[in-house]
Amino acid sequence: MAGRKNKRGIIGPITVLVSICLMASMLLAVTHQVTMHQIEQNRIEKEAMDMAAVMPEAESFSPAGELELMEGIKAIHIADNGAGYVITSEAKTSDGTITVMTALDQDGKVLRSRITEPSKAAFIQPPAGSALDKALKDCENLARIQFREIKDKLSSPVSRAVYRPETTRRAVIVTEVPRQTAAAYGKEVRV
Amino acid sequence: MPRKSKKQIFISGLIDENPLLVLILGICPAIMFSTSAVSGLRMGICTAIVLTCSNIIISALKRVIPEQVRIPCYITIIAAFVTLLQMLMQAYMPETYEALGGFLPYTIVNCLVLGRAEAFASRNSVSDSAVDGISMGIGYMLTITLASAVRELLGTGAVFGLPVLSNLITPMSIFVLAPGGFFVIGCLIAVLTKLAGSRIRADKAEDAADEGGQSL
Repeated sequence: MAGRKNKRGIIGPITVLVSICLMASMLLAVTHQVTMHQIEQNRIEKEAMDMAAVMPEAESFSPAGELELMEGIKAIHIADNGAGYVITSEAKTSDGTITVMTALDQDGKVLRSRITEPSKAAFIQPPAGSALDKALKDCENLARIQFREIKDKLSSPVSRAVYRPETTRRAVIVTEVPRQTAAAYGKEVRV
Repeated sequence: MPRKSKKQIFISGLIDENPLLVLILGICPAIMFSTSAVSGLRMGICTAIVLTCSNIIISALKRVIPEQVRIPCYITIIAAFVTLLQMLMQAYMPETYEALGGFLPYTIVNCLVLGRAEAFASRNSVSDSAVDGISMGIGYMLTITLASAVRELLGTGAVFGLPVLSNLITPMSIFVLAPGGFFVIGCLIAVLTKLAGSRIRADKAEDAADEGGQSL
């Protein structure tokens, strides 16, 4: 009898807690649905602004997908006018991870680099100058090493076909496509 | 116990029941974020927004939430609200989100928010809880900003990034570290206790004089 009473006593609070959790989840799901596109749009705009700041010579960029990225490299973008590349990488500092964009010219020379996302801990205490400088240098070096690999792949005829600026708005770097299919592939990626 | 008016609730949140200096709530984030005046102000703004909104929601649901599960319910509501605010800010106020984004998640575990939910919002009306949230939020924001400004001034010689005492004193970096935070907040508590103590004594003397006049 007492056990039944206890069960009833537990079921009520559990039901309320579960209901509140469900309502909170639904509210967050709806908010996520509503804000998702705007957040993505903001992210793209910020990325474009950061890339324009780090490489003002270029007017637009195309993402390089399907590449085996090294550890620490987040993304690679290619200037559509052939000005160079922007490599986004991460580096760890004593205060957390920072994200850095490095602009490289066609020969792999670092033009500029810039921190686009400070570490979360930087809100509390910005990292000391020397630690930040070291992290920036690490990112630049990483970008240079990654560039060497991209350069090799871009030097192949297939990749050159894929990367023609007028045809490659959504191009994908392809490294091991048979030579005879290069032209066909170039047509496929035309947008 | 007589019910407080909204004005009394507002004043008590700022001075008599100042969350940081009197109730000693939210000390951890205060020590952590009060290294510079700007970060202190940002943390204060975040806490004020979350505190006000969570107070309103918890007060509105106080009859529905059972006693046994009130703390998990409050935490769920506060966490949901902070996440909601974070998403809305990220979408529609990206610049503000960039500035405040790192601080927002920390407000979930700020004991001030949970403390007011438990001590005030769960026992009072929605409007009173809203006033309490606003006053406590403003009180916390002002105090943490003041503590941050003092720490930044003594630790770096600047306030809000502007050099004020750079050439006059040698910056004492201990003030930017945790011990300096405890020291500054301790000094502020002492000053407020002194001021509030003399005010309470003056009020008591006034009451005694009134009673004496009436008896005569």
